[in-house]
Amino acid sequence: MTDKVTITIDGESLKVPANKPLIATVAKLGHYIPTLCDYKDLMPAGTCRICTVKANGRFQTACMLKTSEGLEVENNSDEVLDLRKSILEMMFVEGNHICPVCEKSGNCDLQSIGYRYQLTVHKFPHLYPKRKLDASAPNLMVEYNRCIQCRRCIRGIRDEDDNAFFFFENRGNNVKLVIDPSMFDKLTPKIANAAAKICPVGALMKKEPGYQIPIGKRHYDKEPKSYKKENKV
Amino acid sequence: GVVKDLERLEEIANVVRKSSRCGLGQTAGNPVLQSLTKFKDSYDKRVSQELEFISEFDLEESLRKAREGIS
Repeated sequence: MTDKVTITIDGESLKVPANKPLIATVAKLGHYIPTLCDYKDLMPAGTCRICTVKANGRFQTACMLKTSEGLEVENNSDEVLDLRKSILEMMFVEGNHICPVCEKSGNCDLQSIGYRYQLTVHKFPHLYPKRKLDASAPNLMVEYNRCIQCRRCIRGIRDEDDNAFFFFENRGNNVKLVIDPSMFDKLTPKIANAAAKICPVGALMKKEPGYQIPIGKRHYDKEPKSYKKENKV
Repeated sequence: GVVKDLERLEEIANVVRKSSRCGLGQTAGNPVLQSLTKFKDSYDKRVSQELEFISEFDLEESLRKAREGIS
């Protein structure tokens, strides 16, 4: 496990530990790969597809990819960037992401990556789905217009017995995040806070007075998401 | 539809093919892409060659009431 292997990313050779997730490994060395579903200590799931890179000639997600000897990664080639932009756009047109009125604006990973990739005009048509907000749970509400189905909350928010608070209902196009009603008692403000924090968009919001952090003090206000912010360099 | 819709169809099919995790997604674009290349005539007959964009609503009709109110 402690072996060092040589990988190539955008033509630059790097010595990295073997069999580690690519995305976290290269982030430490200053190569930023965007991600929405990967989170610090969670098991990678590969759900958001935004970290797609071209590895050894095939498109793969960098969060699921492990470092191995002779791995050749294209991270910033035009082909990869085009694909990434398209995936990002699909996320924006699939829901109703109205940043100016969103409480998460400035702290939102999706918005920040949108700025980073300079998404101004969508080439795909907006779907304008009609979705309702679910405020049945205590302390936490689910805003379906913003959910991108990354599974971060399902993987990351658990009680002391490792039971998940969230699950997915339905399949495919109709997939919907729900809070387990039998876990309502355990949904304390602390858990709600953690859920709102782990959510990369504003889909999970704690029930409290909104807009508490003023503009200018939010996480991504000054510069878009990058490896510096991720690793607090 | 318009010609641009066909281009968009091709683009979406390519994105799905390249970025899917499982075999279903990786091949889901194939029928669309193949029919686009092999039956181009049929597609072309069904899309408008002149128009650049087809509006979802009729602007004149939507403004009619307001105009009648003025005159």
